[in-house]
Amino acid sequence: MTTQVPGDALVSLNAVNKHYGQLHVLKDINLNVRKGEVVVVIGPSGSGKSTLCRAINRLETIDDGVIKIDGKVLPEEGKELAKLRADVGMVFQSFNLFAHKTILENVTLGPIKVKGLSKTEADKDAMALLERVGVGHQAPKLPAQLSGGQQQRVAIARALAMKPKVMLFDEPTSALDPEMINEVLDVMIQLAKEGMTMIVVTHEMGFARKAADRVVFMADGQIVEDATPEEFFTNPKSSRAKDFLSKLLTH
Amino acid sequence: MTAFMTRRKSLLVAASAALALSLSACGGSSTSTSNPPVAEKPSFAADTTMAKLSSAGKIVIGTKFDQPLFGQKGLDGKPVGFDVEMGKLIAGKLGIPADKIEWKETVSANREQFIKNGDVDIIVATYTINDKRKAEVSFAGPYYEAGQALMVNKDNTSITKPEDVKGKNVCSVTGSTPAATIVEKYGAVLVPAATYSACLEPLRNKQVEAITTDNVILAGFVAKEPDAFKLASDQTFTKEPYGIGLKKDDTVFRNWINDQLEAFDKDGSYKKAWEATAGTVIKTAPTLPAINRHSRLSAPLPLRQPKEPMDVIIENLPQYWDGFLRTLFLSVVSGIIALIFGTILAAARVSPIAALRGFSMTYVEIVRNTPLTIAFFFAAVVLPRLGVTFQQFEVAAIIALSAYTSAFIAEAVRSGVNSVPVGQAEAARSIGMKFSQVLSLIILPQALRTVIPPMINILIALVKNSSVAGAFYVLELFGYGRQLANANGDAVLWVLVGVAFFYLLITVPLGYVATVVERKVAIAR
Repeated sequence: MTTQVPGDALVSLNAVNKHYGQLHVLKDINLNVRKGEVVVVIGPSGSGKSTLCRAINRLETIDDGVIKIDGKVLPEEGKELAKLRADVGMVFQSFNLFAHKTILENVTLGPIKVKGLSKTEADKDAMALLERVGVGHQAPKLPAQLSGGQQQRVAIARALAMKPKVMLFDEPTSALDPEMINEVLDVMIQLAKEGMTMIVVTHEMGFARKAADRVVFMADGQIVEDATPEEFFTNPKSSRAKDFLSKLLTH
Repeated sequence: MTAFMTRRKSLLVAASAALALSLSACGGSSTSTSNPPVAEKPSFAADTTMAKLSSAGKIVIGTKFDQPLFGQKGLDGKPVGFDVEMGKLIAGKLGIPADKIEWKETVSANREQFIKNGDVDIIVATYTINDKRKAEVSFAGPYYEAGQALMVNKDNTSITKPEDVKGKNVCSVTGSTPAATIVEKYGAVLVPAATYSACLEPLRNKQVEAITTDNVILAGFVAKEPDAFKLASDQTFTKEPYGIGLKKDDTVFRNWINDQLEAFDKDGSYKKAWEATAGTVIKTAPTLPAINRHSRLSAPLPLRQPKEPMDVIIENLPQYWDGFLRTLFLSVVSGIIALIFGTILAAARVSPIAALRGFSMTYVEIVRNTPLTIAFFFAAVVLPRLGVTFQQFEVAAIIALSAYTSAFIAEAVRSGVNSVPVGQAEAARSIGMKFSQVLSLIILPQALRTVIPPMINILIALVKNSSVAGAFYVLELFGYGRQLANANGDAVLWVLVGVAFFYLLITVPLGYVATVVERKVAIAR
């Protein structure tokens, strides 16, 4: 395991546990992510990687342990939590664009309502972001009129509009048709190059190889390996990881 | 005890009697307080109490014969006082001169019975309006608000307001409401007596510093002995509204008297009547209290009986229309309140605060699972007992209907909220929105679209439910229908066909609106 100075971490999880009834989904998780780092979380389904990702902005509550964002302990419900969430961008598997709002409104709603930007300012920023992810011409449409890949890129733009300190991606390409996966990954790779701190739960090994600084392998609610992509893919240490990788490669 | 009068007073009576004699000869267009103007051949709608009294040319008015300044029998056997003046003014508007009024003595115990038996046409007799009496008779007015006051010796200057009696001896009748008020609210030391007259000697001897009860009773004592006593102040510190009693539910007559009272106030005859009577002691002339109109809309229309059963609808179209408007009014107001309150309840149901969730769930479950009649009973009977009184039964009906309907709205909105994918809320929360923003900007706008069809069904039910109001003194469409059915035993079927038609006139368009809205706002996912 790579050792880090905790004070250095933008996101830090310390001895985090969570149960769903009898099921122990997060077992004593310790993880630190430094500023600018791209961490890819992989593992078989049911290993707790999505729960881990969602716990970081408290969409899932935890039973014990401490999660800190930029040195601040994640607050309980309320105004403080909302404020902190604005600093943590989140991209979901099923996009979750606001179905009754246009593409442009999806991106401007947060800046206007949460950050208090004027509509003109928010519109200008939003258009720039939409151009950047390649869907500028779709701005006046409703989400349902866009393809999955386009919707997911809008979702990334929506998260970026809040100028977050860290971006969480919860299986961002799992719901996409194969031909649309790359357009989303390209945007993410670009983002990683620009120095965004990212935690990405994915099955896309190609992305992990290309963009990740570290790969975290989870199984049965535990972090089993935490290594560089090179190390992990060429020389996995645990039998669980070997098993997992062998299954991927045979396909 | 009532034979005494001040010199001034007896002179006044004598003078007005003389005036009455001289003026009746020349047409009776007098402006004297004792002989108010008499309307020349006033015309009233057929079948109304006004028309009957006016054409009979006489009226029987009940009043007190022993209440100085308000209703007290004079030496000539005719009562004088403020109540008597009010009676004369009303009679005048009916075209009945003062000498055609038959005055009957009524005392507190027999007033309701006199009205019910038809012994009197109206009662003006320091008659306090209260809910118990309203169950037996109807009241016009109030035309005066009496209230608790303090009477002191003439030379007393230390007591001018109720706060001044703290720690001082005050006389009142054992166990009376004024006695309790002066002790509990103002900290006086009570010296109890059996009657108010029994308080007079202790006051004269300065064993007590004041006597307390209604200002009207006290003013009576002052009128008898103006050199010994005075009212501490013209102000009262409780409110006792005096009304004009009449036959229960003669709403047309009641509204007409109310209109006259307001006219007396405007043309100055109210003030003049006061100054000539009670004003001799209570110098500050009262202002006419706000008239208490039970029915928000105009008086119900008299019914007509047709020759052919089918014609019952055509002949009574105005009645149906009136009932239709009242039903529409009840439904629209209750509907709007229920939509707002129901949405708030639904929001509470999904809120992160456990107490709000608990309240909302309890409210919805209790209200949704009890009959509407209970809600009406609660609003119309229980709330007034708890001290929440309404001037209009419509208010109680609106409270009941909206409280009841909001529970259903809350459930519909909640199911709409549940129909919005959970990811919508998560996405909204993850960009830093607060709970209220998530709800108002993301969840509710989407929920309301899916909720419109069930919501319209609830509103249609509300329109039909408003018919229950008919059983609680609100005359709406169904209430008219019932009256028409009672009056036209041979045409009940047609009466009900008419009622159904007017309900459909509201509910069918609502259903149409539902279809259109549903098509328009269907949102693609």
